[in-house]
Amino acid sequence: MMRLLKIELKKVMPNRAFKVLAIMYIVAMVIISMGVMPFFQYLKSKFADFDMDGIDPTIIPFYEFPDIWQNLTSVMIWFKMLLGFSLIFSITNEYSYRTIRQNVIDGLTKNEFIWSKIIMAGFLSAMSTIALFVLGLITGFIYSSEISFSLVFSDVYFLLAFFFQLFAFLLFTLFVGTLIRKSIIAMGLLIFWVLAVENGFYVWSKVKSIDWVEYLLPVKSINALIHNPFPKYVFMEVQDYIAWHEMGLVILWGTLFYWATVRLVVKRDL
Amino acid sequence: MGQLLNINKTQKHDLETVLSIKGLSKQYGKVRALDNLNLEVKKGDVFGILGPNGSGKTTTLGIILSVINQTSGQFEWFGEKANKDTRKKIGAILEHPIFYPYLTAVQNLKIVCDIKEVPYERVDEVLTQVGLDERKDTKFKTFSLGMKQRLSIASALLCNPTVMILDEPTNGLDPQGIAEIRELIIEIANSGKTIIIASHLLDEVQKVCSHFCVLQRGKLIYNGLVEDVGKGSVSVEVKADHDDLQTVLEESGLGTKVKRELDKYIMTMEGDHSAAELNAYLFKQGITAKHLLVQSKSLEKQFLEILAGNKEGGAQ
Repeated sequence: MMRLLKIELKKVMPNRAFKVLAIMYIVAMVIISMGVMPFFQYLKSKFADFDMDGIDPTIIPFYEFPDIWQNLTSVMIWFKMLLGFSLIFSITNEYSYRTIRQNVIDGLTKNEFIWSKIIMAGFLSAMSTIALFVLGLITGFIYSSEISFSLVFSDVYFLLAFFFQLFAFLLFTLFVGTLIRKSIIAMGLLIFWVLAVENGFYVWSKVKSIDWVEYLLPVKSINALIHNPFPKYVFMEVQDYIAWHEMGLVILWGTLFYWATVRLVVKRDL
Repeated sequence: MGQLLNINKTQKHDLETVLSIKGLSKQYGKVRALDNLNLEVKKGDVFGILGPNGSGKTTTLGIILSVINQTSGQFEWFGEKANKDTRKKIGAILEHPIFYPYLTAVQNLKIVCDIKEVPYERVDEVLTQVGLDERKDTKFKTFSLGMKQRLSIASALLCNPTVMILDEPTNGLDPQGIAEIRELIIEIANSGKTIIIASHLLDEVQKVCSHFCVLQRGKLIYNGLVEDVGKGSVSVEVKADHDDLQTVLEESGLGTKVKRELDKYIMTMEGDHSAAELNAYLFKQGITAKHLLVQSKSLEKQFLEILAGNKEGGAQ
């Protein structure tokens, strides 16, 4: 496994597209986990300029333990597309450069090849989760009014859910990349699928009030794992925990994409 | 080449089979790209697979390297079924050189080292061997075609392979590049490695190979020694200032066919008659030959004969 990760990192790290996407992802992560409170403070000062002192967005406990975990993960998952693109790039490049063929000729099995990509997807998910954890701890300690061990760690399982969300989504992009094999078309399809197809079906199912349709939409199911926590700040009820059946659905989708990708690679001639 | 052939000839008897192919077929939709192919390659052979474009050469190599799934039939490497460890003992290049364009020569070869589980020390050794050490930290995409080809040979040499497979190794190279690659191949062959070369360049096969086979439309239509190609009829090229050289030559009784090619005549000699006898005969007739050249049969001629004799071969 370490050998495969080593191979994959050697392929990907010097790649400019990967570097640019990774830097964008990291910057986005830092902004999300550090920048919201300064933004609220800026808003507050603007409101003050207009003599609306009554509105104070800084009272929203965005970065307070334990809320911070659900807040950070539910925002950060919007940026999964950046990692998805980098993975699509890496798999479609292997097809367009035909290096997948040379890798197999050199002695990698087709299974090992696709595993090196899956391990990379897992590695990226794990690194983002760890980075988010560290950044969350730092900002949490800065902005929390009250700090205790149980407050800090009580909702930390949202990070685990975040890991599964990201990993399942990356398996989906890996599948799209393997299926299409052309980077631009694969990325186009990914955006089209997520924004047009899934949203279309979602809205249609809401209109017709057919609930189960949502479960057939992989990216919607993945996104739904961590519920949007922000309505609670305007006193609406939100699901502030991870539901087991939703977690099960994400794992099911992940497994399905894993299976389909391996099958595509093994069955095809290179 | 002579030296090469001798090595192979003396080693031939007691040597084990490196590759054996039994009844291999590949179907692409309605097209039968490979039809019941049987082949055996022994250790130390430099084996040429000849055939026109689209005759199934690359398909064969793709199957024995596990990148193409065969429709039916089997093959064995070193007497065992192919697996990833057998491929680690093989150095192979199919078609044009394939590397990550945005990586340097060294970075590319290190990936191959990781795949083949070979220590990184080999990278510098093989780069020196193919004469690329000065450009080792340059990106692959900046390489000329000749350098790319040399890098793929370096990559194939990384694992110190017992067998090397080369598909059209001189394709698209300039004459100097072709000469360099050929020299490299002969050097590698002299070190005792088994080499399998697919090519449509007959001259190339004749210069470097000990054995060759001919494929046509997926069928094996010839399998033999390159050495045997030169045997058989000799023809002599003659130029002389004479109005009717054709008749003079035909009446000599030394050869069968006389063919005119521009200003020279080519006569296929009969039996043991030699060029010397022909020269003596012409002199007796009062003709001085200003050009006399003995041609033994080239692989090209033999190849065209084989193909012509099998026109119906492999037809659907």
